[in-house]
Amino acid sequence: MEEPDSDNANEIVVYDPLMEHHALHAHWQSGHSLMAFASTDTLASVDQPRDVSQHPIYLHEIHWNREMHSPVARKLVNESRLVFVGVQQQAEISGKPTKSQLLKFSRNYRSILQSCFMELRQKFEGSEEFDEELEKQMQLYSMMELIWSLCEILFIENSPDGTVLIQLVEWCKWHFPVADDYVRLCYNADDYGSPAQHPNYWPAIYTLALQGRTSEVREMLKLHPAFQTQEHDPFASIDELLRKMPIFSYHQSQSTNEFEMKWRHWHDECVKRFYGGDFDTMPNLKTLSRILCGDEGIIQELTELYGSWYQMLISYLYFKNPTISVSELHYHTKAFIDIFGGQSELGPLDRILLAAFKFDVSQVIRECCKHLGTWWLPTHLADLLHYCDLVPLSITESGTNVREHLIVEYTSSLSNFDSFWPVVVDYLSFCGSLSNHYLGLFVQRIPLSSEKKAAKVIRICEKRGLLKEVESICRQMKMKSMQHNRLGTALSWCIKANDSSFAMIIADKMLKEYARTGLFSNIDLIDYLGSSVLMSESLTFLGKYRDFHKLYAAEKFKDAGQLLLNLLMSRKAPLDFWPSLLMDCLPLLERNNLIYDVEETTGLLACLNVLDQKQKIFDSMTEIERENQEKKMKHLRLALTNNLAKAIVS
Amino acid sequence: MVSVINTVDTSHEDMIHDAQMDYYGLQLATCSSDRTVKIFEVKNGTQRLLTTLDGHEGPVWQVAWAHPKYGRILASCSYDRKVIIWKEHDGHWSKLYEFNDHKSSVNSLSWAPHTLGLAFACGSSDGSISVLKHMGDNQWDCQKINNAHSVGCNAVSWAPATVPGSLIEPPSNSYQNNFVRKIASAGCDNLVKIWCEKDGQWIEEDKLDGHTDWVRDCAWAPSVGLPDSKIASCSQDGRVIVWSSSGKDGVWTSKILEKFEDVVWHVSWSLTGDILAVSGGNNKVSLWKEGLNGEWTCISEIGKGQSNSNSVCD
Repeated sequence: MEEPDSDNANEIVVYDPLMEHHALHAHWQSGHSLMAFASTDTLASVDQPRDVSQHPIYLHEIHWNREMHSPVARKLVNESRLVFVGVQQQAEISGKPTKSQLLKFSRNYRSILQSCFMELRQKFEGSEEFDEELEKQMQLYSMMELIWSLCEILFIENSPDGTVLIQLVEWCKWHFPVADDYVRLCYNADDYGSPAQHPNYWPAIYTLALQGRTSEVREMLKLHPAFQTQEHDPFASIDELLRKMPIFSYHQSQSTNEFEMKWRHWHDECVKRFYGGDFDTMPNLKTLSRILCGDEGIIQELTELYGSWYQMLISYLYFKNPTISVSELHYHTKAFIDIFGGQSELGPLDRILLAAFKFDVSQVIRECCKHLGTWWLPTHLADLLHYCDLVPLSITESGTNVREHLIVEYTSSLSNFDSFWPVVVDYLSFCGSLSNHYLGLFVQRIPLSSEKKAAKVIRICEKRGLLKEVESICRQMKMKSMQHNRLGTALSWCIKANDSSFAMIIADKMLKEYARTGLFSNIDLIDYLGSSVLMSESLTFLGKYRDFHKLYAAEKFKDAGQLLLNLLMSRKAPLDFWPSLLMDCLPLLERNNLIYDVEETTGLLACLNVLDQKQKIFDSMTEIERENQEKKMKHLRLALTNNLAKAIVS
Repeated sequence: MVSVINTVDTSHEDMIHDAQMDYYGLQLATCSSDRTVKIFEVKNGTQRLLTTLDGHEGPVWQVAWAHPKYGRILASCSYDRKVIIWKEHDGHWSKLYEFNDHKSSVNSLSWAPHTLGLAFACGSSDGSISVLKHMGDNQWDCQKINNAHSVGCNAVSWAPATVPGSLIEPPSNSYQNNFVRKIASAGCDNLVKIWCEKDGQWIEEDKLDGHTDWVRDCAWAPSVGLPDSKIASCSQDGRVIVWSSSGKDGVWTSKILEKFEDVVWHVSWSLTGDILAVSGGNNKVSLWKEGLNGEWTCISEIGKGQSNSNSVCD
């Protein structure tokens, strides 16, 4: 990684010819973006001569934390979301995840990082041209994996007695394949006859030894032409030391004390043989034996071969103090940092690792925030460590604790990417007591591009009790449907939002449409209204009228007739709908069996008379429509009189 | 970390004064000294000019989107003493309402939080602030705060509509009535003032005295549900101040974020209220963030380069 700590790392320059004479202004957009433009003092500009006309007027859209938008980052975001939710659910079920569960989650995160890295590497190797961007990303991912795995060893995995060196040595071996590189070079070079002739033969042996890989060192040594197994041979002597080196592992049934005794004995033997002059004839073996003795001086001598202070620190402790506990590590850091030029020479990665060696979790998180340029690692790490009780709650002035603060940061780095909205919702849902407020702010910003999406958002809001937001979304969707003249959809949104006054407007609109065209566009919706029809009178009427259609279709003419009559007599129907209702009586009147008795028929006639007097409602009709209407009314009157006669006779 | 991802030629014929993205980040409105307001569609990082709104007779200072639940509504204010409310219907924009009751340039405009209904406040160089509320049917009720700032009002900003302490107590049925209606305003009298609506009247609740020259802008931070409030203000004197109040005793404390050498024109909060963008001062736009220890630090800067070439990107 480049040096992001320099002064201008977080500075960006916008080029615009206009800015030469004018100030730069910026306004927030959604998420992590700003709009910048050249502008001038509002009041002065009015009177100023316009010197800008020769330049185009530009707007510059500025984003940061764009890393999250690459295809690989999207994979990282989507996959780690599942792990994150898993952690939170586990915490909800059992109060706090156990150490082994946390370790499993931590490994899940790490394997995601690893697979992202592999994907990047494949792409990098597959592309014909050198891709700087890809290389940078690869560096970032491998660095994140390095940091994460160290934190996992030190903070999460540490065994009950606090010993960590075995894991740390493994960590070195896994992340810094220096030794393997040397070994490969030795084996692949035919020019030198045998590997033992290769100039990298001894570096390979030293680095293998520094990484604690004693059996591999022995294999290498056997390739040396001078290797003999006689008793007083220096090779035989070092081989024996290597073979007998005790390895501590918590998992073997071995107490620390027991191990220490064995180890001390072995160490003394190394020192004795070194000073006894066993290796004096072979300077290379002498060097190797100094490594085994844990000689600080040799470590310094080998720095050029082997890399950084933390690798050296681990090698040194492995041969000097293999049962050291996590809490003691930091006593030794300073010496090795000094070898490498002291504190001032430390890069960002060094500082993050140093904080980890010092067991300063807050500092690790702070440094990661500062230097990684992505919120992914600090957020997820802080979350896990929070469940290890390692992240201090540290309520700040702004009232948020570290974990929640980071979650908000992480989600806002995702929020200007629309397809991440379900991810953002998931994270904000687990953001402590402020979850709902953050969610409330966020859901309003989700573009409601489809009915399905709106329904999804609403479901989430309802689950979280964000009722105001639900109402607001329903209202927006209703307005949208109204604008596109989709009355049925609009009505369903109204019902969801419990907006009776607007439901009435829509119901009236639907009735008017029916009165005009004889067709209901969304009549099926009425069937599903249920108790919602009681929300407004128009809706009630609409529902009843729909019932009439159903009764008629089911050939229950008597019931249908009664319902229709009720609708008219109760004056529930809007007046301009009466012609349609009365016309609906016509087929009933023309049936053989009598449906309306005298009184009822008289009532219907009275309705017809009322309609005759209110000519106003015909005003809006065209000439032909009005003629048709009059013809219909005439026909109806005749049918009603006939029915009356029939009723009287029967 | 920071990058210019897109540069748009706005086709404005004169300086832009404001650029605002709508709630969803789908449409962008700009306004300019060329007396027009332009609306762009933003899709996959590209902008397409949708329409140009003519109607103002002077430079347009600010544009602001209303909450989408009221439909697609945009307000603009101008040197011509007018505020115009624009509305889209079927893809067509038209003037919905024109407010011209100010005697001088209208410098700033701010929509009320959507939970308070469709309402906005505007501040003018005539020293007064108007608060307009939609009463239905395009009828707007206007309340005026006369002499809010002597010499002139430069900026207005609504407080978020949270109920104080809503986190602690569960929302009740009388929720709606508990919303606070407050406005912060910045003026040429070197003051930031807090106005509060009580029994239908706007009264001066507080006077924040900390600048030694005209206060150019003030911005109320979005709330995350805690009872405390934050306001950022910036001034001709080069100072940027963050005012905060715990909400309990109503006392505002100030913290000088930075004293720049030059005028600071604008302050603007990010959506979650955690980063403050400061325009001006050192000819840059700087982004400030409150650390976990309560100290404000500059996390990023956007400077300007004067390239001789015509390249405008990166």
